[in-house]
Amino acid sequence: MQLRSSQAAFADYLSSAPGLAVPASLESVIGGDARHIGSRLSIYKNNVLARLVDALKESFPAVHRLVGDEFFPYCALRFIAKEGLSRTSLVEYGREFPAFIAEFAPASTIGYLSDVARLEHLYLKAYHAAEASTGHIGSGAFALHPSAQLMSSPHQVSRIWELNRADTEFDHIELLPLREFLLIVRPFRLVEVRRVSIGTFAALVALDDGADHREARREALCAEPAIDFDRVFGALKAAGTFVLPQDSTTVGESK
Amino acid sequence: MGAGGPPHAYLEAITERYPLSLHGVGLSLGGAEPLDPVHLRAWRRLVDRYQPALVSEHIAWSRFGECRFHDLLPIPYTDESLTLFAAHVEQFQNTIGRQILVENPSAYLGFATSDIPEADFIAELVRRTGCGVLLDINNAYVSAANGGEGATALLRGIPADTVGEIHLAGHSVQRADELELYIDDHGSPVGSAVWLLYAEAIARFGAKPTLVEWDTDVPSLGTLCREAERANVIARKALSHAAA
Repeated sequence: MQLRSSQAAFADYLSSAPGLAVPASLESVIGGDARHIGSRLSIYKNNVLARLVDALKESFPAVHRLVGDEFFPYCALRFIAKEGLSRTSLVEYGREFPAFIAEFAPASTIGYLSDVARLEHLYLKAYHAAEASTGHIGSGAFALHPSAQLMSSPHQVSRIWELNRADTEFDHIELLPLREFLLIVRPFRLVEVRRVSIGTFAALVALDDGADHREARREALCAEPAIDFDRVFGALKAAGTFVLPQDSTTVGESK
Repeated sequence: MGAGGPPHAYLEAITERYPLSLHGVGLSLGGAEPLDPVHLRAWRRLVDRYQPALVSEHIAWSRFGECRFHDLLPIPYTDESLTLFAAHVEQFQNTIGRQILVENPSAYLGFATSDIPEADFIAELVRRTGCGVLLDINNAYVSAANGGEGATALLRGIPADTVGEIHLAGHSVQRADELELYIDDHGSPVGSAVWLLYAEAIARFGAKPTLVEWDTDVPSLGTLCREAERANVIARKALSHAAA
């Protein structure tokens, strides 16, 4: 059981705050010159942290671009200190990052930053979601595509995201005080971020909750009395938003 | 390991054109804890779906309790770790119904408790489980430079007919407190000492599928192709010398 106790000590060391001394229980199992054990171990500790910072950078490229190369690692390390090391896949590790940004005082001057992060996380979920067939939805039962994600924001979040996800050059953008309702979905090969109306959004939220076609129509009309529901619904169907019910829970668990 | 999406579309397209080598980093075969059954099932689905030519994992651990470190952490070479590692390799091979290759690690430290030479540890692992070896020559070089047993000892100690794949990569050197550490960071061209060892490996093990790992500071495709071509040239030369 020596292996188990030495890995427990190693794991404790990796999980401890940066700069803490190497515990004696770990030091005693490492070979070589005792003066250098701290330097050798710190390579692993730095790697573990760097991997998480890099994973967050890859998962939130627009947030990274918006706050810059200096602030992002600072923010990421504070998140890691609060969240602890990873207990899941690297893709899932950033799940609470948008909420953290919303509460993180140094980032609070950028009101939309947390919503951009939320959009990026939902984009990633849609990207890795299970496949499902979008063909042949008749008049019978159907469900939202398994990749579908819904969010609303008081900011023009999809516009900010679009301009910042790649190295698009732009001087400034004029933001209007418009609430956005978004459907993020991957019906075919690529993830699509679609802006929808408030009534369409209400219908999609209802469908996501398990409502049927009639209930979804009622929700849509409630939120947006002037909506041409049949036209909107037909367009969503044609764009691959729905699948047959059994297809929405296919292909096992994700990692 | 995701459920769907572009990564799977790419894998499918690649599988149609080339034999696939699936290379894992997260199973924690060297961990003192039981293997993660969810991760094992994900592996089985992946192998069933893509029927890869090669499957490999590392001589390392990366998980303890609930924590996943997403890094390849070193194990001591002892009877205890050998027994446990062999049991995990067998469980993995049984789960996916085929042989795996295990990769020698890059180490930044050694354990006072280690009492089996690395080459013997790997040879015994192969004997007990029937697994093969993924020989990472940069790892062998980096480990030796960081105080290990010497890369040549590893190359000569691994049974000749067990190597199924070779990895090459660049490394960097970091200095702290009068200590010089070689870091396996996959961010630069393959070093000249590693190329020399590659020629020696090809002469001993024959031509094997070889991967140049360059996944940080990724260069242009042209630079990558030149590295791959250099590997081809060195392999051809080493083979013709060996035959002569």
